[in-house]
Amino acid sequence: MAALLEVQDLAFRYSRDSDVFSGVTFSVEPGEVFTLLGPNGAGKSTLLNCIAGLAAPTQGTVRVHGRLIDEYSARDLAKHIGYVRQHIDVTYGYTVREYLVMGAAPRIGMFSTPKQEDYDRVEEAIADLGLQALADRIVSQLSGGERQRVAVARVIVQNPEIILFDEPTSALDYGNQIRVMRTCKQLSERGYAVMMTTHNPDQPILLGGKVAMLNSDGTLAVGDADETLTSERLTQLYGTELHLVYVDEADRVACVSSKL
Amino acid sequence: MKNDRTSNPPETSKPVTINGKRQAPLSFILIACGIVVMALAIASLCIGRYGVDIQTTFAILTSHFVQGEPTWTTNDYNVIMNIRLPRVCAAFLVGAALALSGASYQGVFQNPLVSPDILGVSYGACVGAALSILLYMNTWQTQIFAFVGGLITVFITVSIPKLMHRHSNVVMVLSGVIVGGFMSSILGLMKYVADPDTQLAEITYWQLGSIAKVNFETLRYTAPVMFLAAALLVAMRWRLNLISLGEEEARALGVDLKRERNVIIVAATVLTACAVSLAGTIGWVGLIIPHVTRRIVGSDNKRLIPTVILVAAAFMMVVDLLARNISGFEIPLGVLTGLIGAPIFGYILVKQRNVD
Repeated sequence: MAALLEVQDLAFRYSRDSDVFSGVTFSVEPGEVFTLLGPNGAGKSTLLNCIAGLAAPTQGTVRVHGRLIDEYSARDLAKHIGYVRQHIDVTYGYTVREYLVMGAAPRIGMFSTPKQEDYDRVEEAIADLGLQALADRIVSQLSGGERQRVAVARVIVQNPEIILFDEPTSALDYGNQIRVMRTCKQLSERGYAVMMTTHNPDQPILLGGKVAMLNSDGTLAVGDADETLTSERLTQLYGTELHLVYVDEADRVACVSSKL
Repeated sequence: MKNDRTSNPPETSKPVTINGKRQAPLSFILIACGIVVMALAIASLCIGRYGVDIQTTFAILTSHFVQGEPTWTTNDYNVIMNIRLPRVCAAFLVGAALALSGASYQGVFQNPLVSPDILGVSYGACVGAALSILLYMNTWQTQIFAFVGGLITVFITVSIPKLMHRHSNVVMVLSGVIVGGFMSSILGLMKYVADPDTQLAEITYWQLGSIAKVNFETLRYTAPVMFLAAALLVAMRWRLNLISLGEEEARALGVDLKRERNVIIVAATVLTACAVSLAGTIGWVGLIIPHVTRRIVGSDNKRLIPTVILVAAAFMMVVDLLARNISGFEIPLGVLTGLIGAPIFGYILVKQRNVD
């Protein structure tokens, strides 16, 4: 049986000589957390855009349920893949409820508007993520952390099989980073395949699941996070000396750098 | 969190509340606006240099359906049925068309500062209409020329930021200013070569904006096209929310962006062109009415689009009433909308914190 998401020998380049990434191959199954780890400029967001069908790869294929994503209509693809972007900028003063119901778009025709069942799903997502206090507020007036939670709620309303998170924690304080990762973990436990990009090596350690370490030459290594992440590979990936050390108080491994 | 991707949601239905303030139901707002529009329409029919009382006006309006002895003079009948009724219909259609296209452009270009006149569409449509006047064409052909002029202009205005690889709101507005200015110069050239006894006056009439010459014959050609374009935009009102999120967000939500955006731009341009072919260039309506209406019903286009039609129709009727009655001669509508619109927009800009 075909994998839920299958990325095969994917490459992307803006000009003839410079590959953003190349030779990227991996697959993702339902209920899995998959972290794309890499330094700034490694092409993590571009790779996510290629998977979401928002950018055309130079080479290689992306398949969902064994079918090339180019063969899906935009609407059908959105039923399978949801995308939570790094920055949520909304020009107009939509309330959180109005913004959330837009997640139902793949199930709504071009000349239709949301039905009661779509609004019901919005209320469920609000209850799920504890957004009751934000529900009537204007999205553009929310803080970065609040917007991120709202974006997660919208993707729950969308209810795809695969959720892509593009650096969901990059603009957040530490508490909100942990909360967003907890949400990612919970979404995977609900059956969603969760893919997330990050440049923070502690995050795949916390999330577990699979990791792809992405540098500018393509994937460095792909596999289970606890086996794939090693001090040597992280040092090579970031070009600075890094160590994985066990922290008794946290009962987990953490990534630390050498003294400055 | 629930452990099921497709669990059944609870049965709830929430009234619209924005920042803690509960909004009136859309049906209530539409009925209230509808009553205001009806009242203004009746006032527009009765009030003027030739006054007709309200009973006589109703009797004339219902004379086609109710048999009985006429209680009105031929002058009363002509003023109501042949002069003021087409004018009231035109005020409704032109106001609604300009504001509806303005709200649609603002959604589709994610830019609250665009409108048919700022994008240069009105000027392009005016150039098309002027060209058809120079070529001695009929109403139907004028409409087509106005539409093509408007469409070419919107295409050029949208292409400039693309060529510059700059997609900011400011660049889009500047592009509209450039194209509008260019079209304005072409219009000046056309006026220069126009026959001063016949064509020049007609082109100037287009430029200043007036619905004084509208009759049922012109409406018969224009109104059905306007209804079709408006129906399309009303049907796609919620899609405007999605498209206004930006290209990548909309595509990630499954919007067929190219097709849907083109349908909306063409429909909005048809509406603008029809409004220009009926009444010439009337500025500000397409910019300020969507902003004013957002303050009443919020930004959700599902509520905004139907309301904007009625608010704009009411605004245009008030402007037309003022144009006909505040002085001994008729003031061009474009002059009045500017005098009223500019201060209102300035006030909104000061008040509104979220404008880009």
